[in-house]
Amino acid sequence: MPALFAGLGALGAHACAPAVGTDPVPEVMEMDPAASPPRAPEPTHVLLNPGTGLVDFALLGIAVPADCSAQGAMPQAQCEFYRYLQSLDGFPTVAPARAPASAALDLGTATVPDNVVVVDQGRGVVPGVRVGWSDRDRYLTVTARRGWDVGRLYVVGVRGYQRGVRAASGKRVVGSVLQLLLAQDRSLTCDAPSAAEIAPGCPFFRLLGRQMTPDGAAKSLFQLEALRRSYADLGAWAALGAAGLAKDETAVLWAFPTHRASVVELDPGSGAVPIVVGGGELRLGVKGTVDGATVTAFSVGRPGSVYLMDLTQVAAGDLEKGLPPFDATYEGGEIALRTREPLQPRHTYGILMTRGLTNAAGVPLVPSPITVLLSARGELVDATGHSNVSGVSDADARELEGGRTQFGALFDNPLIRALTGLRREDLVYLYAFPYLP
Amino acid sequence: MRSPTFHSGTAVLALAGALAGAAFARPARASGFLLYDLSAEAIGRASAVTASVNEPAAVWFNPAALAFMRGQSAQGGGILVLTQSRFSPAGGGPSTAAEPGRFFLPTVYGSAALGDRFAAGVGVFTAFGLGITWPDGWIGRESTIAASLKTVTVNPNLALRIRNDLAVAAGFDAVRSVVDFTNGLPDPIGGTARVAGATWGHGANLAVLYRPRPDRLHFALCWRSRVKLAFDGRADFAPAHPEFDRDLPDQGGTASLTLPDIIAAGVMWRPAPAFALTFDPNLVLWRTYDKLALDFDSAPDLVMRRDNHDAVTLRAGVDWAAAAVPGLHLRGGLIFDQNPSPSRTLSPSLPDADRLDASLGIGWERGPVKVDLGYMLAYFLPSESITGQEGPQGTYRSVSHLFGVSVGVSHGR
Repeated sequence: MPALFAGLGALGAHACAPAVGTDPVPEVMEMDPAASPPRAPEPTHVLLNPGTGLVDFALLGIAVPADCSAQGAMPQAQCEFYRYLQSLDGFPTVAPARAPASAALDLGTATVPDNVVVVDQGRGVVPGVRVGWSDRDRYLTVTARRGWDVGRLYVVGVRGYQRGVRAASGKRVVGSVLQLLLAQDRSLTCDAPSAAEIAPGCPFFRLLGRQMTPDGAAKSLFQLEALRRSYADLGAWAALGAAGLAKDETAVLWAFPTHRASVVELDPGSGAVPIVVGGGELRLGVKGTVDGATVTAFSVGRPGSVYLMDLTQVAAGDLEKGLPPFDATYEGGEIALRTREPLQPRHTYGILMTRGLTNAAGVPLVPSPITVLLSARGELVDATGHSNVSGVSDADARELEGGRTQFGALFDNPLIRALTGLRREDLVYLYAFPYLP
Repeated sequence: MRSPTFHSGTAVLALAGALAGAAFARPARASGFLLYDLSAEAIGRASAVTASVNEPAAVWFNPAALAFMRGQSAQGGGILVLTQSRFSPAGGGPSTAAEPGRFFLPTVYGSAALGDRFAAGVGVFTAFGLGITWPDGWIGRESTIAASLKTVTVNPNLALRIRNDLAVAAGFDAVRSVVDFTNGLPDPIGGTARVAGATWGHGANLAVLYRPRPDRLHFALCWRSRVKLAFDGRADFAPAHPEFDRDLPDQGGTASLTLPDIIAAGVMWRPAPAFALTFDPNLVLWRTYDKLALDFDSAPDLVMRRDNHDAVTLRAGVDWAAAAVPGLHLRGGLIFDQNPSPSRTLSPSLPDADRLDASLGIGWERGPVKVDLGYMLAYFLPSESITGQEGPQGTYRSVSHLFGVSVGVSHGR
């Protein structure tokens, strides 16, 4: 009898279900350009057309209409903003670098420069980098205290995995599958010379082939391979490696160039606004060089590239007082405006600059994004108060819309237009501020 | 450009293939993963005992025989199975050996006469299952690294002697089954995926034993029904790159397969009092395993075609009662086992083949005690995977050794 029970016991053990654990699922730094809306780091060098050297949203599959006023594909303001970006050979110096994540991040772990590294290619790690988190769209934001410099290539890397950033929940944050492919040291196309010649046994082809047609998988692989090589060509991995971020710890990597043309900085969020010195001097910082000879103050009867308006007086109908006389010079990396008469307290002043301003090479300055938004013809918010421009928050869009409307009245005023010759398309700087001494 | 966000279906597809084969974990005995030789005495006689079994193991081989057994008997033992498989890739290259398999399958039986005509019996045994483990980095890792299917059957039976030469029996099968397998995830995912689950199934059996010349000429027919197994388990994905973790979350799932019907016929002829010759043709309805259905919590459902066909086994055995030593029996047998799976679906977790088996055995019985030893060599003819559909193309070669031991006691026989 004991033997019987022993035998049954052995058989019973034979029939126990094995324990299979459940592994925690990590969070991820997302990279899915095909998602709607796209979830991918930005800005990115991928958007630069290698042929034209300009930003090209067609590379994302976005067709930007030529005439923003006569189209219905997108809000007019969005169209105008796209066209502005597509006029640049890099991204604005005030553009935040952003990367999406699958869940809220613990910013305490997003330490700079350990876990968030920004490298200025050729100069090294960028100092003064700040990180933030946007709950609204789950983006990690990376900004430089004084903005990016013009004509530079920046490489941004976020460390994840065991030693890097963590989610607010405490979970590990890892890279996406796309990031893994882009980090491969081997060809994603298995060195095939064309999409049609990718070997069926190529592991990456097999991976994509499970969810796409063979033609689709082959085409995607070639695009991915070009992207993978571009990071090597840019020296992106080497740059991060030199900064202490190894490839196998990088949850996300992206690179972006800034435009080479100079710009009069305008970013109220970081304090890049006109500085009032004393009661009659305004100074505006410039990124890049300026041909001082092109810095000329406008006055009635004398064309210029820099305009100063007392908008309070203009609104009151006094155009003479609305265009106070002043001098404009370029000195010490700044454009300085000196009024002949003291600024009037509690008056709102507008500063406008045109493409007459050029850098030392004769290239016209380019506007910053806020200038473009304030001078847009299309509305920045829709009827429900939501932003019409991607990348501009609803709150920012609503705030800017007030200024846009007022400036719009200015531009559309035939008398002002005739007097000043101002056209929205010529603007490289536009800002209004109350003088409150 | 489409984002290559990996879809769990890719790994699930690979898992299905492994499970499909795991259900037919490398066989060591009868066709597929059927373990037919469940007593040492039977092993010695190539299990050609349907018409002649006279021990509590009749619960498995032919419960109608219980009606001709007097008193009460109990029998316990086990079968040690040693297996070895090797794969040689098509086109040449080094071959790969699976880890040697060592399995011990205990068996327990009991029988009791209930009056003059009725008898009861119960058995606990493993009729289906075994396992295989290949090296982690071998060429077929995406098909199978390790596979295990275990079953335990509890089979009570009731037999009735209708008349002195004829008995019938019926029984019920309660089958507990556990499956556990691991296979490699494809490059560039890497790592492994493990699926394990358990379930209960049930079936029935009928048997008849006709003895026109008792102890001289017997005929028998048995049927054991198919058993549907609906597994409830979990999949544990462990990709080498954590980037795939979100697309391959560990998750629950179900899978179902059906153990085949077994039809066994047998004849025993004793040309001389000391000699018993037996012949058993078996038919196993492996057609029940035409597909494997996988249903995961979040991954898409999958149905894998297996396309197995019914298989025939021919068994011939001899038992010689040695006159020189009372109670001593010497045994021998031969088996031909047909492969139920086609070459196009051959996989490393199912490297089945036609088999030629030879067995020897010895038993001794004195008074209430009976001890039996048996050995069987199962030689798998080389089998080829010709399409590469379920695993690498190449040839499998396997061999198994079975060592059986049984000890029985009886009272009132």
